[in-house]
Amino acid sequence: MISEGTLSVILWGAYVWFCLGVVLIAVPAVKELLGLIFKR
Amino acid sequence: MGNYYGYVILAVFAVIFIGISFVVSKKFPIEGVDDFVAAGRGIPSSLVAASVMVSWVWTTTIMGAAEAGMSFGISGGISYAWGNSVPFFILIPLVLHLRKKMPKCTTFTEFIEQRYGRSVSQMFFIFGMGVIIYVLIAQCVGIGTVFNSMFGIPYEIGAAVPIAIVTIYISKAGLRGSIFNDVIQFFIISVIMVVSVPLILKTLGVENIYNGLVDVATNPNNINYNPEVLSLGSAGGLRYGFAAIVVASGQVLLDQGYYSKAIATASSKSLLKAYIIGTVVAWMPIPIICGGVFGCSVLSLGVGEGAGLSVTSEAAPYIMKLIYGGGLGSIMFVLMVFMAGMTTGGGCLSGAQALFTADFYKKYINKTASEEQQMRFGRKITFIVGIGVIIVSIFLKGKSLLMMDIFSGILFAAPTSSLIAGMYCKKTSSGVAVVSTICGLAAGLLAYFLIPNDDLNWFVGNVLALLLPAVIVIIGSAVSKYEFDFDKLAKYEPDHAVND
Repeated sequence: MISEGTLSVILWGAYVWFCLGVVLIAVPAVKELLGLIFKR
Repeated sequence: MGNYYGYVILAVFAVIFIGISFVVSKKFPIEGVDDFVAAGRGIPSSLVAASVMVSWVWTTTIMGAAEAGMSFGISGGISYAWGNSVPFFILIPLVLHLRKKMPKCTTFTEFIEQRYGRSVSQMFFIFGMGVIIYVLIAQCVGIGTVFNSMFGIPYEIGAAVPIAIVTIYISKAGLRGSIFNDVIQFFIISVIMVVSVPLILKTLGVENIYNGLVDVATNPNNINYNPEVLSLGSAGGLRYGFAAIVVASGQVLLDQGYYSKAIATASSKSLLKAYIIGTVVAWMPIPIICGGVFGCSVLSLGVGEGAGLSVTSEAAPYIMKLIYGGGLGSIMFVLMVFMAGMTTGGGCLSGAQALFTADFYKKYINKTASEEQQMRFGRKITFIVGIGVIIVSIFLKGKSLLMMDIFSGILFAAPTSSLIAGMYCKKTSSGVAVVSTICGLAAGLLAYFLIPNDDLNWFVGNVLALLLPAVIVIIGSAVSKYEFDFDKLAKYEPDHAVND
């Protein structure tokens, strides 16, 4: 059985991990979208 | 919450997404089949990453992972995450290899035809369409359940309208329109998750969730009593994770949507980057969050099937209603599931459109067809598939998303071994491919229906459906004298013009 601290690390850790993924996609995606929309 | 909000959401997003598809098709006029089904092979990696991520975020990823959290405790969401990620570690090198060996390939059935012949290609076409139809149905059921549960609008309307919207925008703007809408939907899903998760954890409190789970683990009178609920290595969770590998193998490796996106990526380097970020970095934490935050929270509150929930699929909406009441938060949750279902459905429908447009029409219906006729046929088929899926979904009201998902593994895992072997091993013959697939499917179904233990039959069925074909392929290839010439793939010329 895991401890309360481990449960907290799993739940908050997954959240931070998700936020990292979002940033890695969102920042270049916004640039690409703006580029595609305004270049043509 | 009044059904008025549900209808407004459906109407507003119908206008937005169909509108985007019209703008995209005007801004980037479709110049031929390759442009229609592979977006001209020039989409940047970040857009493909967003598209791959949201395509793999199903309604099941949110609601089914929450259900897995209820069934298996903290290991449920984690098992969902690793089990469903494994097939991408097979798909990514596979599509990289395919691009290198067969540069003018668009659909995986084209590869199968060159590798194993037309009969085997037809078999894979049927499996590929089966996966697409199953995935679409799962999205319809998920979205319909959520709209019904959160707004009280008829399940049938909640299930039908989103797929109708997707059908219209995919047929209008092809893969490029699908990817642009995916990116918009990626932002909506991400913002909702980023805002909601800390709010739930702060409101319920990790300490309270933990104490509730301790009661689930230690109190036999608890409605959800499960001694392994706080175990990371619970037997049930591990079994579920392995079954998830089987289930996801067919859903990933036989879904043309993922091949279309891989081929649409500007270069192999972009493809690798997009698929790694889209799956491992951005997608994997989502089921862990949904299983842990939604599923385990419900358990900790002493709520279960028949005691607060009519089916365990309602775990996620239950928590959102609890946290946000009937206000903005409920709308945000519905939007998240709505977007998840539409992006997954869109990926699948664009895959179906590619299979029929690039591979089926000219081969079986009109050998002298122009590219314009091919695309017109693809659009018609997209509508037929969309309408058929809506009709079937209406009859599946109230079905468990988790059980539907598990059963699909038995149906679709069997052909994956011969697909993978065909890509790398010159000694695997078409006979071995067919025999391994039939044996795997039959063994999986027999195990599921003949083993009386309901806790075991789905697991044995899934394992047999994946492993038996693998064993047959390995032995059959080892003793075979057949040798395939892979140079044939490099010389392949499709029936339509391909952008270099």
